[in-house]
Amino acid sequence: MFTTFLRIIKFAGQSFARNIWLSVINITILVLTLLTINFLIIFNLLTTGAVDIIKDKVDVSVYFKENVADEQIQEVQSKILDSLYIDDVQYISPEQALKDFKAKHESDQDILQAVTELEREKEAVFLPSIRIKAQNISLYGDILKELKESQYSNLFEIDEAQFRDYATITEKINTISNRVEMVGYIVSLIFLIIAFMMVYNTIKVAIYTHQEEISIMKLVGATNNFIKSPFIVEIIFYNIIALLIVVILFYLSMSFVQPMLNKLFAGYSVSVLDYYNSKFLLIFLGQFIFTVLFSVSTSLMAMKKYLKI
Amino acid sequence: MINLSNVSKFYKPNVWALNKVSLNINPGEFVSIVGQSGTGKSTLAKILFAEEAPTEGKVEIGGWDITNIGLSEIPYLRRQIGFVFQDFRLLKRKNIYENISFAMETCGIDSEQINKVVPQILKIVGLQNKVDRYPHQLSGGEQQRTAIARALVHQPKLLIADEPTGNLDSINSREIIDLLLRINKLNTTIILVTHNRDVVNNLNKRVVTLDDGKIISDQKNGRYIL
Ligand SMILES: Nc1ncnc2c1ncn2[C@@H]1O[C@H](COP(=O)(O)OP(=O)(O)OP(=O)(O)O)[C@@H](O)[C@H]1O
Ligand SMILES: [Mg+2]
Repeated sequence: MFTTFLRIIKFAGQSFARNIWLSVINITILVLTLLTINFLIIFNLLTTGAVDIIKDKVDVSVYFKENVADEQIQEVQSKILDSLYIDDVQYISPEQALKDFKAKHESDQDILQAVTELEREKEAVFLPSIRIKAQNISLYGDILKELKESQYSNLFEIDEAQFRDYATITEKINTISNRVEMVGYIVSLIFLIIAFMMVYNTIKVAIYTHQEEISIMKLVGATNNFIKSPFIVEIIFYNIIALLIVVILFYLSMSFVQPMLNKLFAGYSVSVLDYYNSKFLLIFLGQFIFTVLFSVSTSLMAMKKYLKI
Repeated sequence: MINLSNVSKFYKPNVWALNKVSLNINPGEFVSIVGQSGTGKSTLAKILFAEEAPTEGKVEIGGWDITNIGLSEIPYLRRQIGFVFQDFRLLKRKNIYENISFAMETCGIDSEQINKVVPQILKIVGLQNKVDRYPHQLSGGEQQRTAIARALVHQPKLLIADEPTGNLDSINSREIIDLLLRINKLNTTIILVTHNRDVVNNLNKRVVTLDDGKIISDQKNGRYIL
């Protein structure tokens, strides 16, 4: 049994070497197929990451008009907190707002100067406000409606610019990512079709170049499985090598790309590397099983047609 | 050992290569099958080897009814039958030793057994001194002896030779027939399909003559009658 297994491996290796260029092309096509699949996974990871970050940044601010008393502000704040949809409400005093503003523009001397001027003249630069975060991005619509219809609505003005920005940005990301994914699916489909034709023709050529051996094997009573197995094993070799190349390419390119991603998504954890590390087996074994099933069934089809056993 | 009853073979579109052939061959016999071209000799050999299925009739070998043999059983039938062709069918890229060991390797025989059996067989066919020659470095007779050696790897009870001397001159033919006789003495049934009048007449063994797919003569110590 083990002897037979070793011989099948040996014959497969000989066939691999005999048609070495076909082997190289097959492996290349499989690598390209796997790369597009991984591109899709990574791209998906990044777009959902980006959308999550934007979601996280969205909030609605309510600015109280001048002369609204602190008690009233507190009353509104606690009323809003009662609402089901709210995750967090933060009161921002005029002093705090000023501090935030200065911090934000610390490098812009002109603006800082203007603010200091206003301060000196005891003008109210900022109004008190509360910042509202919803439990869920889809709830902002309801929250805004509730605020506008509330009995206090004459005390404040709502700044929903952020929310509207969010809507347009995510919409943009979604359309772009849908388009890119579409292209990705088409490209991987094309590679799959090419892989199908390659594997199919490789088996055809391999059968052709082994015609004599095959007829001798039949003559002396080798089983059909023994005749077929080396071809299948050869195809599995292709898959193993292609997967190894893809894993190596992935980690090599990530050592450049991940630092760039870290910069791009500063402060947020969108790590392609972590994702792949935590799901290494699932991702790469899954891809391996997929391409093996795909190419082995392709070779079985070709053998059925050309091996006639 | 071999039992054919009313075996017919039809080839599309309109050839009856065999027509109700009944034949009984006992273990250890040496039977020549003769007849003119296209009379169904090779077809008969192919049916015994399960390369073709009979259209009608029943075929039994060693008590095994192979009339409707399944695809997966054919290899096991062939491990009990040696088959030799006119054109040798050796692998050009393998030397004598490898040609024979390849046949054993593909049938799952372990290397120890192979290393033991191959030299023995090479000795039987008289090629023990040429093991590392490639087919193109051999005479026709030596190539045919290699093919016979390959047919012997499973120590078959039956050896079928379809015109084994067809490509050989008379001296080489004589050698091959002598080899078949020796193998026959080792208790292997031989079926020899041939055109060669001298070969048949010198053998003085059983001769079955086919004509137009029918057996027209079956003689115990026969001669070439056509
Ligand atoms: N695969 C096939 N398809 C159609 N007809 C065939 C096929 N094989 C053989 N025949 C026909 O069957 C008949 C018998 O062929 P077979 O090969 O058995 O003859 P043979 O006696 O071996 O002849 P030869 O001495 O020339 O080898 C011939 O008429 C041949 O043309
Ligand atoms: Mg013939």
